[in-house]
Amino acid sequence: MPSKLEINHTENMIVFEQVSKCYMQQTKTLLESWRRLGLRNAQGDQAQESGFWALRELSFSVKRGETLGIIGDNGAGKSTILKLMAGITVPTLGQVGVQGRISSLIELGAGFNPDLTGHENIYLNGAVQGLSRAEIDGCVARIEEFSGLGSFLNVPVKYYSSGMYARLGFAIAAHVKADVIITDEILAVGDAAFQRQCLRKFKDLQAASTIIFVSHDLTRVREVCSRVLWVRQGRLHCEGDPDKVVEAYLLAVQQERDRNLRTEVVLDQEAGESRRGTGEVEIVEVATCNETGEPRMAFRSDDVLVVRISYRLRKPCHDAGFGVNIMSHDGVFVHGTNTFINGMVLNITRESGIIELRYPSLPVVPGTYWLTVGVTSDNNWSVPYDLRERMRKIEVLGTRRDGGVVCLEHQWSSPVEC
Amino acid sequence: MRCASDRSLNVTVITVMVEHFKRLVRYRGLLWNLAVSELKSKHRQTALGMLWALLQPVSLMVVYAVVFSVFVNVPIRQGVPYALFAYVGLVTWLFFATSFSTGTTSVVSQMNLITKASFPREVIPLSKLIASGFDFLIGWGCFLLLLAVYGMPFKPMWFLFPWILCVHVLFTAGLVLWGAALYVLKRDVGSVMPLLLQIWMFLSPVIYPSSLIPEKYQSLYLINPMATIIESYRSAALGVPAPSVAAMWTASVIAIVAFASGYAYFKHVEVRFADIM
Repeated sequence: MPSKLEINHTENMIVFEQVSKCYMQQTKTLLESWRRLGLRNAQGDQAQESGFWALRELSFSVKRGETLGIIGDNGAGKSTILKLMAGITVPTLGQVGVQGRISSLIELGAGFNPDLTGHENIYLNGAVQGLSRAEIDGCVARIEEFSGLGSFLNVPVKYYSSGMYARLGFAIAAHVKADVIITDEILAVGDAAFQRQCLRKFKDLQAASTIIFVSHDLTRVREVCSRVLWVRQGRLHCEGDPDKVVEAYLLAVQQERDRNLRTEVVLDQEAGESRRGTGEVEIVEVATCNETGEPRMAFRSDDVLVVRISYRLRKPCHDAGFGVNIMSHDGVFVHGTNTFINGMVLNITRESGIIELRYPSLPVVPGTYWLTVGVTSDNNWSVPYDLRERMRKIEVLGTRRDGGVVCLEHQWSSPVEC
Repeated sequence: MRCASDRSLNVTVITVMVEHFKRLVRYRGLLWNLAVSELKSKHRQTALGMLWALLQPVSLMVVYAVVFSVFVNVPIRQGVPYALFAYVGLVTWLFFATSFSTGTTSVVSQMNLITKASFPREVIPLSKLIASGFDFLIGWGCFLLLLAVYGMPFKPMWFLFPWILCVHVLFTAGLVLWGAALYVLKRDVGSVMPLLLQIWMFLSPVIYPSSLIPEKYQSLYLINPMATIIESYRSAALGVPAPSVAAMWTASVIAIVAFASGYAYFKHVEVRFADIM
């Protein structure tokens, strides 16, 4: 199609100008249309406004070679932005300009034909991306090697595990030559080894292409992006340096949580929590607080973390003890302690109470961490009174980019040449 | 550079259509790939595989041949066995009916692809046309065998074939595009389709000759392009008299209008597909 929106600076690969997107509600049956007609007559134009504005007046541009992160809550409009970039849908108002070839596999393995083999699906998927047979022939060997699927490539993909499916999807997406690559949670597939392989490949792609990176893994966003957009309720809330935008976002999430803390009487379980126990003592609530006792979700490495555990005694017992484990986001056991290790004997007799565990600082690398809190007798954690695994999530902020989990104190010397 | 929004674009409809067509040509690899995938996955877990492409028209032919030449004696032209007569009608009709019904539901059944990737959407329904085109070709291959079996002299009117094939394919493609686009917007189309095809088949000379229709209704009867198309194939392959030139002109014009309007309508609503699903 001939372009109307001229891209003035040749470095701009994507330009959004005052883009709004409205999803209209579809009237399904004639009966509904008839009812709506009546409604419209009665209430004037109000009934007509049944559309949902997913994006409102969004303007930004993406320069050549950038890796742009897009963050925001579910339903903030991230997917709509990706679909507009990919040309899957068109804006209701405003203009979207895109330059060059786009690899628009928003979902890995979308469009695989389950009855075809992995090898055949490489050709099918390449054709979906607009590649000619010759172009696919040129990269099929590298795709097959990267996927590591070996003889499974001759098996229909309906027999694949979800991990194998994702491997093949990533391998294809990563080897299609494109000027702009649009990704949605692309690095969260497969096992740890494949994720490392993906990340290496991703860094190669960064050197050659412009990348749009959407993820809920904020640590990864900070790690790979050169700039971040924060989208809130369909509007551009702020953009800029990844560390700053992510930190501002986490702060907002925190404030939102605080508001909910005050209004909710019964707290929901964290998604992903698993809970078991015999129930003599029950852990009612766990709050992660700062030094002054205010509930917080985000902490800096040098902040104080206080884990405040509220418990309730259901049957009399004198031998109860508490424990707290900290896990990193990818499941590494960072630290664990309990009152038995510390040689404490708690004489719990009252019906309910609070116990606090204080960490003076958090010398771990920035990222997401999960708390497991439990109560048991005689340090017997296989049959606990109450064990709530991954029940609280905290975010450790910071600008350090060290690898691993723990921030060991360290100093480099200047090189001594000889 | 591509621009996703062209609201106030001041170009003629023709230019836009040519651009659409160029994009379609660029994605011909996908068109072919989808058609081949369809065939492969259709035949992969069957015991008889590609044989089904033959068995379908041949078994129908046997049924109709028994019913209409043994039980009911359908008067057709001397020297042409009823079985061959019905076979040509069935092969022609099956290409149209299969393309139309599979093509209509195709866009909705590929919604995962539509909402996740960007490509000219018409490749999906058109790939169904190509897939049933394979069966159509096999059907004609089998026809040559049947000619030998019946010991018929092979004296086809070759010059009719290219024209009639064009009209047949254009008309089918036009209806497939209309059907696919309308089915996305209103699923009622899915319920109407089997009924429509059933009625349409009996209004077309698939298993009886159009000469059975009384003279005064003939011109009305031949407005149905499928009637002219089937009769023309018979004429081309079996040497029976061809429909009138007027009927051929009518069929050609209707086919071109059906394709042009179907393509234009499909492209007009295509931008909404991803939002509706």
